[in-house]
Amino acid sequence: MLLASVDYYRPGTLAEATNALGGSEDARALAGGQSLVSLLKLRATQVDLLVDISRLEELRSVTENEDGSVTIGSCVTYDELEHHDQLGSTHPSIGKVAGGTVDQQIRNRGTIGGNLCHNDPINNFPVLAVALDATMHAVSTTAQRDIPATGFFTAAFSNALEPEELLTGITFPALEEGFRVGWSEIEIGEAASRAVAVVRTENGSIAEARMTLGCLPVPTLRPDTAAQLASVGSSESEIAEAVAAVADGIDFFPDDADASSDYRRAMAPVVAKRAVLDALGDNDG
Amino acid sequence: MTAPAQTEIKTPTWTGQSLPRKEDERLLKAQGAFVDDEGIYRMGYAHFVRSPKSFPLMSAKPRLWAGSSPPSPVMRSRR
Amino acid sequence: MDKGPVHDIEFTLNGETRSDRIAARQLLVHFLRDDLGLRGPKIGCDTGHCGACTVRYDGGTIKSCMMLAVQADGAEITTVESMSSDGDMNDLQESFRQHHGLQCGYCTSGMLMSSQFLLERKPKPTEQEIRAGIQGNLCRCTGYVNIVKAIKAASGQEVSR
Repeated sequence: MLLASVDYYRPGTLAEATNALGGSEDARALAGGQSLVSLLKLRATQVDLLVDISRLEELRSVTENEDGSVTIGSCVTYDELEHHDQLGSTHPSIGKVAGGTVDQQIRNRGTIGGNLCHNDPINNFPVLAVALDATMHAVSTTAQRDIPATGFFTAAFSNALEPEELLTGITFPALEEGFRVGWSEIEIGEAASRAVAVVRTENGSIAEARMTLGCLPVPTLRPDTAAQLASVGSSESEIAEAVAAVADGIDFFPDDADASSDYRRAMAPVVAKRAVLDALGDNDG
Repeated sequence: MTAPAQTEIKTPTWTGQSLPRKEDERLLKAQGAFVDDEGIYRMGYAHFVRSPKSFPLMSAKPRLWAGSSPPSPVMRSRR
Repeated sequence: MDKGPVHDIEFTLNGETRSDRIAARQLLVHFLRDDLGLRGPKIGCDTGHCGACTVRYDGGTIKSCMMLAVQADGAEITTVESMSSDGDMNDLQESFRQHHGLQCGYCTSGMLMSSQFLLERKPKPTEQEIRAGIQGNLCRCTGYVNIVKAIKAASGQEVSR
């Protein structure tokens, strides 16, 4: 496949990048390119100027903050996240999810920022960002702002950034004492159903929970299910009962080549249950 | 941990031998003569475009509407 | 020459520096194959799934059909041709030959690149680690069994017959 005509610019600083993005309506940031180049090959999107931000040092660090939160630059690759020692001890779910993404070649180039901004419903990081209550940091030539993950994803393949804004980093708060993260997904071709559970136990029962469903246009929190989970014991049957209504009120994708809408609806409580069990089980958190 | 006891396997000398292939060295060194690598003398190239109409009248040299994705021919329909 | 924007780039290819003028819209795999005559990286699916186009970019394996040639500016690129630059096959290639890690040979360039990267990171990989390491390379012929064997043997570990 051949791309339509496009131009390329590699800024040396963040300011040059935001200027370039602000200066042209059809300019797009190019990070790892593992989603964007694919779109360009299929001619599914029209871009006049690719602004290559993948080498900007300002976007490539992982910083442990004093309050225990971690700020990850938007152009940190999945591979770097997987092998980051400190991240592995403070926020192990991030490296684990990164390491499970597609394959080595994609992980060597693909970035967390690209994964988030692209917001393909099958992407890993949108649901993790909402589940862990992350905050996105955006910058333009004139301003900067923070956007909570719960407000960042607006629709499938859409996010809350303005055309001239650039995602520079994501801050994941410290995981509070006693909380563990569980992840479960079902793949039919691509990921069809996914849930992330953040759970705290006390005396063998679940004291607090946060449940997020993925593989949706927007990763969706399920506070009712979370409330049901609080104060059930940790047996599989009790958890299954607590998550039984997790799919209520959600519009799942219509039938497609991979799975039917009914199937996705039926699998939501299954992955929700498994995610809770994963959080309770002997994973590293 | 001790290795599991293995029955004595005789390396076959007649049938059952592992024979290296003649072509592997070329293929491993990226010297394979695949069609896309070598081509054929006077090979042409073709792009298939999808017609938006089923029984169109086509001019002798259809223009391509490059604005579509993928490019599709501009056609007049009989109906 | 392409009618669209062009750029001058400088990069290192298989150890040698070079300068080129390329169209911004050209993919790296087409540049390597059609302009530089390197037939190692191959186009299998063109959608970034099969890995036949795998090369190394600043040390890491990447799918060259998912990158623009212009992104090579300032980078170090290595293709499978570097493994036999002295005319002889290296140990990894020898192992693939000995253990029949190829049939039609189309996925082989990519497999070699990914295996090389894997073995640099994990000198004694388990079978599971090998399979995970080549997950980005699809093979339609072998069923992967002999490829895994070839990689394991290349790492100096024992393999069954």
